[in-house]
Amino acid sequence: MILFLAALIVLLTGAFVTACAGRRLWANTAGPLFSVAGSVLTVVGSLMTYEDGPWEWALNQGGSAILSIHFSMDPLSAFFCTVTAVITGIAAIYGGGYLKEYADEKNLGMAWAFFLILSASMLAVETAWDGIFFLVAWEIMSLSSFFLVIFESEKPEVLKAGWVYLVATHFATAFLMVMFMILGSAGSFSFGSAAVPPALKSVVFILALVGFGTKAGFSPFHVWLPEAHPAAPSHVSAVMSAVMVKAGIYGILRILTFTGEPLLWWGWTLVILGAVTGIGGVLFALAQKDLKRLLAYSTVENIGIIALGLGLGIVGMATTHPVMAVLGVSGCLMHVLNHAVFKSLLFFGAGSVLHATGSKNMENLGGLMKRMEKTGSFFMVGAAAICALPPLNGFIGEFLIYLGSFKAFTVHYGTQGSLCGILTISTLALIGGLAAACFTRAGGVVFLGEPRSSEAEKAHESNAFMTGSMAILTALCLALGLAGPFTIRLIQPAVQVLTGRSHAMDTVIFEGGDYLMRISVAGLCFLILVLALRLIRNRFLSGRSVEEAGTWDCGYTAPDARMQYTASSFSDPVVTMFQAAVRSKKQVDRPVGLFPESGAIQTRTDDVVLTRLISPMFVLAAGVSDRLHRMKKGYNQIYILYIVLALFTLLFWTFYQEYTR
Amino acid sequence: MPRFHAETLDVYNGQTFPVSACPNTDMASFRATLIGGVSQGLRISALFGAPLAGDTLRLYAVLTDDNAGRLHLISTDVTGSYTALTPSCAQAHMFEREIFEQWGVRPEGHPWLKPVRFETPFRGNGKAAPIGITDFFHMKGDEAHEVAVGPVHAGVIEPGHFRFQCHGETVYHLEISLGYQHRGIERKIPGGPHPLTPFQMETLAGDTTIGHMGTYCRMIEHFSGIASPAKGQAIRGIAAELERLANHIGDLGAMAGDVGFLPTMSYCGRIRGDALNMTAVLCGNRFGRGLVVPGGTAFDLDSRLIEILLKRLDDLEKDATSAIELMFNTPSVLARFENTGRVSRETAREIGLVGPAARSCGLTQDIRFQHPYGIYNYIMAQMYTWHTGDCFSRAYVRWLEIQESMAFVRQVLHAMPSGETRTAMRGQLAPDTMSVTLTEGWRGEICHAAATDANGRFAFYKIVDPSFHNWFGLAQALRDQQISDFPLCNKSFNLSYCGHDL
Amino acid sequence: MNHPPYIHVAVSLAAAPFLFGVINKVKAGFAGRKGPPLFQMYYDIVKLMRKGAVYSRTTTEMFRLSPLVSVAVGILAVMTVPLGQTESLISFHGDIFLLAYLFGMARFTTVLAAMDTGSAFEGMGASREVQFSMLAEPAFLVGLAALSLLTGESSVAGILSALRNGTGTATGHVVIPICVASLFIVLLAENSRIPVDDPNTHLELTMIHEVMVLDHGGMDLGFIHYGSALKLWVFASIIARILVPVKMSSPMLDAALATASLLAVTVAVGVVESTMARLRMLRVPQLLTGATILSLVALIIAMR
Repeated sequence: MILFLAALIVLLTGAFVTACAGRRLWANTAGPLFSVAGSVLTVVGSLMTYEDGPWEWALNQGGSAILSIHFSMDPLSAFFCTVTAVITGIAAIYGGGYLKEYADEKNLGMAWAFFLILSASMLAVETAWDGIFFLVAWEIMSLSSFFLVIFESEKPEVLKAGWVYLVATHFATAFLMVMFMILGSAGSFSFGSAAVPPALKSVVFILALVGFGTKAGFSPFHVWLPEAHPAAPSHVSAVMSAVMVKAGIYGILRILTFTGEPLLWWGWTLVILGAVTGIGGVLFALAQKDLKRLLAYSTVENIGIIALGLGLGIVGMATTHPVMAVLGVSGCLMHVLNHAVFKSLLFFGAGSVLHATGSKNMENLGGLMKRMEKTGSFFMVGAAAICALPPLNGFIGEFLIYLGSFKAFTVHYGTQGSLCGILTISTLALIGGLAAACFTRAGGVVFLGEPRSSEAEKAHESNAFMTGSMAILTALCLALGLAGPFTIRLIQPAVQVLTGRSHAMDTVIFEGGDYLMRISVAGLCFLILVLALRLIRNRFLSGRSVEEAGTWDCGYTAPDARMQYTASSFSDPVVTMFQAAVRSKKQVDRPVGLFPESGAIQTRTDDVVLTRLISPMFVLAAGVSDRLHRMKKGYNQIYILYIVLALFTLLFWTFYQEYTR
Repeated sequence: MPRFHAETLDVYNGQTFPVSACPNTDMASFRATLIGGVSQGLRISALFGAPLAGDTLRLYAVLTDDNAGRLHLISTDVTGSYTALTPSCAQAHMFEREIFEQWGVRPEGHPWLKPVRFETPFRGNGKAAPIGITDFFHMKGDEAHEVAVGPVHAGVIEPGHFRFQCHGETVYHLEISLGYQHRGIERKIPGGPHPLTPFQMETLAGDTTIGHMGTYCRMIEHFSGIASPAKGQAIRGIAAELERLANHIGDLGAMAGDVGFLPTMSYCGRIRGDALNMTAVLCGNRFGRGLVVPGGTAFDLDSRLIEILLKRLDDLEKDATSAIELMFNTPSVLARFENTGRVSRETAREIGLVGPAARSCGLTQDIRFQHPYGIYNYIMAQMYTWHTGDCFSRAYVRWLEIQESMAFVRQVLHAMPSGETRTAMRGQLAPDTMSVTLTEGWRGEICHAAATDANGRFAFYKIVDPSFHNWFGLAQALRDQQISDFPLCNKSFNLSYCGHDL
Repeated sequence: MNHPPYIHVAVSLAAAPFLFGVINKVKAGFAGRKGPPLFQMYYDIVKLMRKGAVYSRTTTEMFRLSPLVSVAVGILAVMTVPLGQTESLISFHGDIFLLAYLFGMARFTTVLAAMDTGSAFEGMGASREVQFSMLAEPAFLVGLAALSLLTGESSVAGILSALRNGTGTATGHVVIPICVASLFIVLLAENSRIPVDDPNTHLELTMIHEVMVLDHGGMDLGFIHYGSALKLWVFASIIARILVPVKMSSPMLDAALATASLLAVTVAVGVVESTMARLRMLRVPQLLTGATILSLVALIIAMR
């Protein structure tokens, strides 16, 4: 407990210090140092909590002050805090390297201050034990991330993204406020005494789903994500995508611990929401030209997978089938961890690319692997991880979810469970294929082939901080991929906060650990085989001629970089196949006639939910407020009249209340 | 009877006339005549330049009237440059580019003035442009990609460069750049006929030996004022139809192979060999080299050989029918062929397609039928057309022509005249004479236009292979098609690279 | 008494290239030719293994990695799918997913190697490959899930051995043929056979798998051929085992029956290749979606 509180103090002190540092150069070293220190303290503290047991601490013990600073860490919080801390720490190292070039133009001290406040507020959110305090921490988290998003506020699109983000997060907060009011209606806002009136259970669940789901990025509330995440500087994008959205997931999980027995339709809602989010996210990712936007949509996809796992678990809990429950929730939490690792790795890679070439447009890149070998290789590992390919870590979480679905119908768990299982398997299989298409495209077009522009040609490798932080994450991807049997046991305390504990669950976890052990062995065999084959090949080739030549170009005398596939062409068949959902617009200026003068092609994919749902709603709202606006004639007398009318109404109502008492 | 703006010379296929008989007008009348003629349904069979003193170039135009079976000639003199005909008459497109490349006379306003063969100009000290490097059409935008295929292809076929502008699997534009097989034959003929000339004619396009050599021989005969005897003409006819047979069967097999239909591909590969072997029965060479000579044919057919040929023809008919009908009866094959690589009838007429490619767009056009020569004067060859203009159409027209050729050969073999196969050649060619000879090669209209000088030697010899007209048709056929259908479309046209490149 | 799985793994590893010889002989028979020798693929692989290497200047380590991954995945797959007996070296609940995703890893590296060359042909093949495998994977997984539901087992070896004992039920008689049809289509797609892809074509613009390895040569190409052979072996084994759910009295007879059914599946592939033309690229997704729907139907029926 002490360590955790110390961590918070370190982070907040660091924020103060760097804010004071302002534009001085040492702000860029102080920020990462404080962040890493805070992270280390948090991780150690969380791991100790795992060992020693949950703790609780409040500043005003039971006082009547509205705001009571009240922390508690149980295994669920500890898990999320560990993930948060590890990623923010590594992101800070990366950020130190990334922000170096902005040292002259920007106030790095303030940027680091907000970063440290963000880290602290996320930790606070994940350990808050009081409704009001939770909301305060949540708001601080949103605001500090907002200021980080608009770091490059001189660009209009960044500002616009910031506004979208601000509106979305406050939309979410509104729902959360109502929800906490319901939770606290029994008297105290403390989570310990959180009581959900049974009649309002589902209302609370819906409010939580919308409120936390917006932050997490569930469809259709995800529209802010592809705007805000790419606009932020890359280390912040990584933290937002890898960790902040998980705060949303944490929120839903925490609320589920208050509501007692979950209802069946909750699980189904999560499953269907997860399926839609997952498939929609990856489809839109496939249609993007901007590398960071692609990664943002991929976050949406992975949140969908997490929701799918959680939904499967809830269905298992609601139909009292512990195997399904524990595997689903384990898969969910496992994927929370794994996604945090490889998504931040990918965002770091995208950041390095942006740093080196000045461009996020995939159609301008290419051939970067030869110029940025470390970044490229690490990015490829991240891409393989996000496609859930063994022996990397992405496979573990998805395997648990698949296994849960399988158990749902092989152990004859009835129609509900089986249907849920079928839906989950089909969805995950489809998502897997689409993700493979998306990330071979991203990795291949950006890093492989020939450079498509002079910026790509002149790219250079990033500094040691940036590549070093990516190296750590890559090692983690591999380690987590092979350490499946250990990790699953490690997260069980967190899982059990939600599912409870039973002998059946213990058995299935034991067996699951065994399967994961075999997967790890298979993974090791795979790596050994690849290495062995490589040695064999090198041995054979050592005595023979090994030469270099150009790629086969059919003997044409003047090949150029335009003669390679573009990202847009690569994804065109799939995007066209799913046109009904994606609604990508292709503007073709067809070559007309026998001797055409020109032709052009341009595609554009706007977020379907944004254009068809949210924007029309906002337009409607604007129209309504426009009409309301007309009520403001601009004369002071009218306003006084409105105030008087309002007062009279209130007076009348109070008298009426008194009268009818 | 077409109405022309200016006076033209009205001749028939192969007729000789004095060079001076060809009317020479000013550029404006020349343009008007050409454009007017084409708009009335005539075709430009040839549009080429012949050098005069100094920098002047005499442009000759041959307009073919298929309905009346007549050719119309007109000429004009230009120096330096002239207003291009192509914007008003797309049939002139390739010819004007060729004139610019060979003679340096610029057609002003030509929308697509790019090298044709990357050859050294016929006069002046200019150097040849580096091959393959030209200003290719680009689709703008960074999302379209280019696919550059060739010159070295995956199969054992001739070299040529194809540049696709694509997005995803859709081709938005195809541009074809050839010239890799250029041997400079047209340059070698003036001052001839030389001892090598017949060999060069036979290998102008290796699979059209009978076609080109037959045209050349008839040209020599016209200039010498002699004619081949009936037996010679009959054997020439048989050889020409066997050449058509063999190539069409090979094409159908190749098309089947491109869609992955292995039985027909394998069988047709063998059956084509059978057809080529029948030509070998005639002259000992599977492609007919050495068979056709000025004055007739060098080899004779006695009754024994006729028996052999008839027997082989029966076997061929049986095998080919079963293999090819199998293909046309398989729905998966038809699904690939139909609606692929469509060329509309209007486009076909506009760019002047010839041969089976034109007939599969519904255009009625066949030199054997409309401008008969040789044996076709006595025994009619039917003309078959199909209207859809897609790959199926081109395959089906080939099948119909195969059947017609087999019937024709059988008919000629049964009605084989007796007598000599060749007439002795007189020494010299008529001086200051010009002639235009058309032949229906298996790909389409072959046009040779030549004139002799005062000594009876060739002053110029213009060769137009049917592929020269048709390559542009292939480029049009690929618009808005799937790129994976390109090999099929290419095979369905099966054009000659070396015939184009000369 | 079962033979140790090591022997069967060794036999599979040795015999896999033989299947290509069988298919080519069948195709040649249909075409009226003698065709290449049955052991041609062995000769090819040995020939390639003796060569040096030429690498494209544009390529990176990714390019050199993919052949190795193909073979490694193939070996692991062979260890997961048993040949005619109950055990396989790798067997645990849910190993179906490991199998599918291992193939996914091989595909991932192959696609990246194709994009590494910077060639439009290979990019085209890569695009087609990810598009078709995206549709084939659900068909594969859902089909196996249907069989899993039918037999109550959730490992590949478990499913196949349970089927060996026969299912007897009416449901089984309906589900199994549907699954076989769906998995056969997946086999044709994943192993680049007609009607999805033509392994004999030389036309780069129409290729899917072959064009992705266009720039590989020498030992790398040998590895790739061998990896493809292993992949075909695994898919054919699964189908062969599902198709012939009969248990024999002795292990030897069992192995013989397994081999015979494997060859039967291979011959069926050859027959399909010889009698159909390739589908237009646009139509292949429809075929694969059809396979997925078949698998779903099988799964729903198995649930009853």
